[in-house]
Formats: sequence, structure tokens, C-alpha cells
Amino acid sequence: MLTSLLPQILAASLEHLALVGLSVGLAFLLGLPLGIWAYRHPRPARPMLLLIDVIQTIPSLALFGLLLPIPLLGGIGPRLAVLALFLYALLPIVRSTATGLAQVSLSVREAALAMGLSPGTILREVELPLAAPSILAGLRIAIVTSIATATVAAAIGAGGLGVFLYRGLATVEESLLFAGAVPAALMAVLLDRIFLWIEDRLSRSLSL
Amino acid sequence: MTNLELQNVSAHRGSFLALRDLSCSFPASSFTLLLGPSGSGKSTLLRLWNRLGEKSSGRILFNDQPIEQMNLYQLRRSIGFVPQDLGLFPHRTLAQQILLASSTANPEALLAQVELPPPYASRYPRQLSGGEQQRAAIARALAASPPALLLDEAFSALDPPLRQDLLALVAGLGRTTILTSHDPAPALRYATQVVFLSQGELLFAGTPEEYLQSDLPLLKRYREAS
Repeated sequence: MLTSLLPQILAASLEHLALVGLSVGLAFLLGLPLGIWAYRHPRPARPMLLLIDVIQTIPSLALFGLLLPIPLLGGIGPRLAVLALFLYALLPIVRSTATGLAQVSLSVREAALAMGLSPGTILREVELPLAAPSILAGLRIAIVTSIATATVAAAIGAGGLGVFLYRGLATVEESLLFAGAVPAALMAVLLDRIFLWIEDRLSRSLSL
Repeated sequence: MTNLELQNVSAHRGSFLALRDLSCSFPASSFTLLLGPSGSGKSTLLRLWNRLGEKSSGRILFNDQPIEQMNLYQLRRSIGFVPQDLGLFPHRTLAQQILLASSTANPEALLAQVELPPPYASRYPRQLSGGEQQRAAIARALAASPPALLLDEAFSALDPPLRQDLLALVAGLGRTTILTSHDPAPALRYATQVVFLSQGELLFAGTPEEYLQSDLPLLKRYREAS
């Protein structure tokens, strides 16, 4: 049974990865500048952080439902799934960027300012490189949670490994459940390990 | 040649009045030992020069020119600054951070000035001992050849022989130097001027000899303790 499903599992896994990659990639593109902004202007950034916190607390099925009627972006299919996963991925990326930047030591920051470097140079040459392990940790969390959440996306016809789960649940067929759950878990563990390894190497090279 | 001057300067740290109506001058090429108990305003005073902190009132002059009339980045490049924890960039080699401070600097020559041999240029701060890190921080502060040098407790963590070496080195650079310290004894022989702050006010300013002979109770207690 399982071996005959293999080509389908592979195709669904790639679909799943594409959903996760696209949504987390977009979240990173927006989340990084938002995180920098939140670090530089903590007070005006508070409502934004609150908003992305609230998004995080919405159960994924409910979020899909809420986004469904939105014109252009909503509607059944992968586009809506990417939008929802993107919104979920924002929180860890924005937070970890802001936190990582805030953790850069005061004396390093003062030394950079006292050198007469501009804020842009300090951000590029000093703050972002030193915040990189934290930013990467946020990215890792975003990826791993997106892999899990993306299984729910099958409910709105976005494809991915969740398709097996819904079919398995409907037919009470265990092998179908495994066909969805095991590749998703493997994917999450593997990517988690890879990112942890990079983070570890990076932190070690950044310690005094 | 650069002289620094404070005229009736007050400064706040948050809502706290950290410096009160301070007037003091730091002649060209002088080596000033800035003393006082913790919380007396030493670091606040030091950070006024490169505008890491701002005054609330009074005038701060750099070569007789009010510092707020100067270009901020040029002002900062004219003042070498070594913060208490040195602030070395852990992710950059010594040469890289010296060149970041000034793209026309010669890292090897600057490191030679603080007696670090050329191979150190390609090392990271974590590969250096505590004393070598201090030297590296001084070399980096000198990258843009600033006429003034500010050192915030820069030598406090070092063992005595090493501290003497570095003090002699800094004194020999001939820059207008201000060094803050909790412990005056080791730096006293290199200083040309001693300034003592207490609760944000100028308690004493004079030569090291005058400092040693002063009858002010707080200074006496300080001398006896060290």
C-alpha cells in the first residue's frame, strides 16, 4: 500500500515544501525590516507586535475561514494557504529580529557610534551580523511551525501532505495518516537540525 | 593640538541631574585623570564630548568651537573612544574593524603603535588575551588619528604591570587624553591634571601634586584607601 503511494508522497512533499518555502520566504522579506523598525522604534511598533501576536493565537482552520472571503487573496487554493502561513511566520521572524538587535551589547554599539559610523553602516556591519543567530532561530521556528500548519492547508484545497491526513481521517485508513504525518515530521526535524547547526556555528564565531 | 573645554555644563541622565554646572578645561596634549565615586558623573561627562550623551545647558568646546556646530561624524572621528567593556566587534578581525573606523588607516602600523605584531591584524578579538584586547581597542580608537582620546575605565580589569605598560603607552601618544578611573594610584604619575567629581559637581581640579596635598576630606579618604 505504502510503496504504491510513494510517487504521490513525493509530489505532495514537494508541494508542501513549496508552500512553506514561499510563505516563510515572503514573511522573512517583510519580517526583517519590520523587526528592524520595531527595534528602532519600540513604542510605535507596539500595536504592530500586538497585531501579529493576535494573529498567532487564531487557530489555523479559523484563520483560513476568516481569509476565505477576501477578494483577490482569498478563495480556495494555495494562494490563501500561503497568505495564512505567511501571517503565522511573521511573529517569530519579527520578534527574533527585534530581540537579536536589542541584545547587541551596549559597549559594542557605543564603540560603533563613537567611531563616527552612520546608523545604516552600524546596522549593516555590526548589528545585523551580531543579531544573525537570533534572526536565524526565528526563521527556524517559522519554518518548523509552518511545516506543521501547512498540513491544515489541505482543508482549503492547497494540496501538500495534509491531503493524505484528511483522506486518512475520512476513510479511517492508518497508512494514509502515516503517509502524511511521517514525511512532514521528517521534514521538520531535518530542517530544524540544519538550522540549529548553522546557528551554532554562527554563535560560536560571534562570541568574544 | 586640541583643547577641550566645559563651561557651566549640566547634563541629565534620564530625569536625574548627573552633572551640575561644571566648568573645566583640558589643555592640548594634557592627560587628565578623571576621578570620583561611581555615580559621580564621570562616564556622563566623557560621553558629552562625542555626543553619545547630550548636555542640558552650558557650552562644550572642541578647539574653542561649540561641538553642536560641528558635523557629528567628524566630531566623533576626531575623538578616539574606548568604552569600559572595550566594545570590540567579535565578528571582525582587528584589521577589519580598524578599516571600518577609517578606510584609509594602516592596521599594521596602528597595531605596532600598541605593540601588537603584524599577525594580530588578521585575528579576531576572542583569540586575544585581556591585555591584548585592551591594546586592540586603543589601536582601533586611534584609527582616524583623532587628536583627542577618551578612555572609560579602560584599564581597570588589568593586572598592575600590564596596566602600567598601557598607561605609559597612552601617555606617550601625546593626545589630549581623559581617563576615568576608580583607582587613581597607577595613573597618577602619567597625569598632567586631576579632576575629581562628586555627585555631579566639580570637587577638585589641579595637578597631581596638588591632588596629593589636598585637604578635602573626600580626596583624603580616596588617597588613603588606594
